[in-house]
Amino acid sequence: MALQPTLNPYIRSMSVVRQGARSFAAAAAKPKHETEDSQKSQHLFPRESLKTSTVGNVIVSSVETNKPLSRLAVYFRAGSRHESEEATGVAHALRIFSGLGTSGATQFGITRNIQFRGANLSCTSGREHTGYILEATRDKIKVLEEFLKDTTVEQAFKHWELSDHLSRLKLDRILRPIEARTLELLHRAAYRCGLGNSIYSPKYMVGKHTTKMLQNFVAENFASASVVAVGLPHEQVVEFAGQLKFPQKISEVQPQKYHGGGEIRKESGGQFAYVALALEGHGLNKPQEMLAAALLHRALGSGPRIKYGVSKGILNAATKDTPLESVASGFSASYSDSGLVGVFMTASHCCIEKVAKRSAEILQNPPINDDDLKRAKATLKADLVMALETGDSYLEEIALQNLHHKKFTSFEEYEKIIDSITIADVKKVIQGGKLTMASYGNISKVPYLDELK
Amino acid sequence: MAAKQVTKGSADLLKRWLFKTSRFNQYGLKSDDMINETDEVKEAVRRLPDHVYDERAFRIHRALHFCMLKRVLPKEEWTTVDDADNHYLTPYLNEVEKENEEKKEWAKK
Repeated sequence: MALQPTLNPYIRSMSVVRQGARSFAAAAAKPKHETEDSQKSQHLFPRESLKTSTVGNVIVSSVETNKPLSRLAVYFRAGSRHESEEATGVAHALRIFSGLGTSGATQFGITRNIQFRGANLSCTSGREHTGYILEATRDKIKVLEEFLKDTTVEQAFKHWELSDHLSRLKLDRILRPIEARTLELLHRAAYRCGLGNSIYSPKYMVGKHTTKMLQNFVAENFASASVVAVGLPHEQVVEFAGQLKFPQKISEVQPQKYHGGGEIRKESGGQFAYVALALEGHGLNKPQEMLAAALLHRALGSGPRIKYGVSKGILNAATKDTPLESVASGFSASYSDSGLVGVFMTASHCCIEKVAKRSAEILQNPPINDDDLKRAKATLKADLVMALETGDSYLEEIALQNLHHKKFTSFEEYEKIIDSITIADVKKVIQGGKLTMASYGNISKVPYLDELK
Repeated sequence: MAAKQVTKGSADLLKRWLFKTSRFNQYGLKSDDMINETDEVKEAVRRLPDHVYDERAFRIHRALHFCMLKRVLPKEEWTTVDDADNHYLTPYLNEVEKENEEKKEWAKK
């Protein structure tokens, strides 16, 4: 979602099928309203408003877009946070092994049926959620709902399929970008368990996830779910949600504790050192503080906003002496009841010490002036609005808010809160916080945490 | 009704007679150990859980050994026709066959 780390690797989409040609999508849909100039404005009707209802324990939301493409998704509150100690990495396994045989359909059948209709079925997951998304043209999606149902609540986890598809799990691990590895270490240092669990399976667990482990994980965590659709009438979505059989037991999730003062270092040589420093931020349960932390992130610097642009933020002071060999930007993450806000820096071996020390000073005592705050507010609003722009990000935004917050907060409500935040509020986010640090790469010159305070 | 019972009864008798005269049970083999290994059977065997596969391998190995020695197991250890898992492989084999059917159907399209 908008306020969680937006590095691509955090969203591992496994497309069960290749992206089919969708150029016939326009022909597939009929305009919802026939008006005089419906010839011209066939697909120019605005999005309708969000409709929400409850089916059993599950919140069902949908938005009718009057567009030819529909998206239907089921999101579960089952992520790496909910793994038990014996089943580390089972959330990663669940993501990789989605789309395999179910009690109603075979993997081959699911793949071919979806490909045949030019649709997409993918699975995405994060620290606190796993979502299965079906994208299809409006006229074909009814037939494919059955496969979404199979893939979500009727997975069989046949043991030979699990071992046959292990290479995909290994590939996913190999393709972890270094930034993701560093942030995983940071989460482990900051949270230890729960949110500290990595979204990637550890190496020693590859091949050790059994059918029983996956079934247990599903049985214990799939009771909390949200069904969302963008581009479908609400009645159809409610009917679909009614057909899904969710497990009954809603498991309790322990509140997440942030442990400051921790540090994890991983040597791996290479040219650069990657260091992440963080303080405790705030989660979705405290919107005002969460948005203040997000503003701090953007005031620190959130990357270039235009093509070939330069990142503007108060962290530029840390790298101004070595602009070609170092980069420092803010980062923040907001989960359901906790968050992180801090600095992510990459620097070559020789200058990381200075960059780290300066960044730590700036983070703990940020010199934010009115201009910085104004810029931060503008970028935060832009980010929040852009998260609602395309169908797929809107879908995920609604799903995650329903899942964690049980309701959807509109952009207008967030905007009001953002406008009311002052510099003092932003500085309060980090007051009295204890730093956590993670470093990866060529870290021989990276200062230890006690040298940074 | 009575006719049906007679046919059922005679099919059962035939099954038992065939089982006894083929004598593989005297080597301690189960019915599904004797299946001719086509590609589908090979795939089904691949899908067996590890312990079931190991037991099958052991029974076949022991049977070959007895064949070489020209002896059989003592009568108490013979497999009987009523053993529950005589057809342990059949569910897996059925699944493989169904999957192949599905692939053929799609190939026709």
